[in-house]
Amino acid sequence: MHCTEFQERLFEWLEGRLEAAEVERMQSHAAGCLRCRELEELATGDAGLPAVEPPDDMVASIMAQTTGGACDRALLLVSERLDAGPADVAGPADVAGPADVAGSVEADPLLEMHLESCAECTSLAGALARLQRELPAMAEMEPDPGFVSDVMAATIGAAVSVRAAAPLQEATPAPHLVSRPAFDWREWVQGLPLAAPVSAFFERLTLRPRLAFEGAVVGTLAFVLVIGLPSVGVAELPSRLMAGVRQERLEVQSAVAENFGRAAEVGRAAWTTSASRLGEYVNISPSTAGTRSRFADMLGSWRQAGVEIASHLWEGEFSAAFARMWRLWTEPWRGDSNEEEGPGSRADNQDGQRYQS
Amino acid sequence: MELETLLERCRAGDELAWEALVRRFQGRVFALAYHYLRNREEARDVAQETFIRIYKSLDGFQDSERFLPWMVRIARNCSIDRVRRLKVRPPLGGDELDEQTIGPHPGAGPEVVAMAGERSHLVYRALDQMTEINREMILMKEIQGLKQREIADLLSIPLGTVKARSNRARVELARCIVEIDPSYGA
Ligand SMILES: [Zn+2]
Ligand SMILES: [Zn+2]
Repeated sequence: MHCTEFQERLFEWLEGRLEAAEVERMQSHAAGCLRCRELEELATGDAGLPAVEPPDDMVASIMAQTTGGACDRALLLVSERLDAGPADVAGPADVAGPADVAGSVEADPLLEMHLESCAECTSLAGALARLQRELPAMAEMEPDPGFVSDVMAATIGAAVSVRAAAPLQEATPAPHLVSRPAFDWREWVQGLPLAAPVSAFFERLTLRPRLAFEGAVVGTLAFVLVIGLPSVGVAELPSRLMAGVRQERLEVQSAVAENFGRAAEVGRAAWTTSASRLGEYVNISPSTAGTRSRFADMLGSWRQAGVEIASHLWEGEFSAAFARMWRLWTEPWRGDSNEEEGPGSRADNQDGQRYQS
Repeated sequence: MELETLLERCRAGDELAWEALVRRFQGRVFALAYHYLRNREEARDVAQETFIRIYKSLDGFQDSERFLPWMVRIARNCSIDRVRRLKVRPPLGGDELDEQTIGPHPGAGPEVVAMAGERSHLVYRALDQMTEINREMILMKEIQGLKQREIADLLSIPLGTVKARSNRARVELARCIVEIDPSYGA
């Protein structure tokens, strides 16, 4: 065997591709030829020389100085592949395995090569696949169990019910409030002799939360005016609440919450004063017992209405509060419905009697 | 029941249908609101506002195919309105972020993160680090599963931009999440 032939077949030999007879010929040549033996030792790494491997970061550093890195491109491809493949393209192992790549996007051997050598991209590819599985689960999140009924109450108003307004009812128990049938404001609005646009406006008013709050504050003012007519110092309360109207809802909310207990308290005190003054007037007037009891009835129904409105407002049932106020304003002098005669006319009659006597 | 039938009965004033509709979509609307507000109280309020607006406009709404994107749009508008208002006028009390719902503090180490259990906390934290537009891409495309056309309409950006951006957004989220928890992609 000549040296040329030995050198030509050296790599085939090292790779184990030679027949046994040929291996023998190669060995006998190497045994007798120093130059070829040295070549063999170099090739097999037996020469005691360190293997010349490129440094780990060489590719990265070349990439950084040329295109600026292939990772961005690799990750975009990985992401695109997620859309194309079915859901089972998952996990770094699957991503790296060409056999698992399904869908219309063909496996890119260059991408596989990059992923094999780039731990960062492999990790990110794993994260991408995992996010693909986990993100859809975040589409829904359960609110508390009371949410649906609150929405129902705020829209169709079916769930409008009078709940206990603890602080107010404690002072003035009103058992009829609890048994009162649910108020359907839609029916009520439709029953009003109002033109359609006005009724539509009212509907919008009650449905818009922000306006409802403004309405609540205005309602509270009305309540204070109704209940606390002339006396006791409630002057600073309306201005504080009106300032609240112009601000954001949260602040209005807290303003109402903060002031409401006070409003009720002040209103009640004012009421007591007003009532006793009215009572004094009735007492000193040359009136009949009937007039006195009429007055007492009227005061009683106003007071009752005030308590109802207050508890509606307190519970956030603005439409019910509006309805109650409306009833109070439109039929202020009418007493129990089982009376044949309007109380107003009866009072007139009695006044007439009074002046006659 | 088919959404179309449900919507039809809602329009006819059937309270049962409306209740069923609210029940069916409350989770989505609440999750959307929570995504923007990160506070259960505020999110609940905004979700309720969203349903009230849906209720108001239901009469004029015909195409059941487009219900979901329409609902998402309303929820998004309500949420963004609220976020703006809260930014201008932060709430009075210590009502900052909902720590309990959000999970561990951003400064917490990986052990704490791992102990927090629910992976969505980690995802929310990663979402916090993203640009706003990419965050919305993730929300609308990956989380809510809207179509690219619908997202383009919703966010008022060209369809091509949605296509290009959706992959970029994913990669950004993967980077953010692996940065917080290196074991996430392992
Ligand atoms: Zn030789
Ligand atoms: Zn890479």
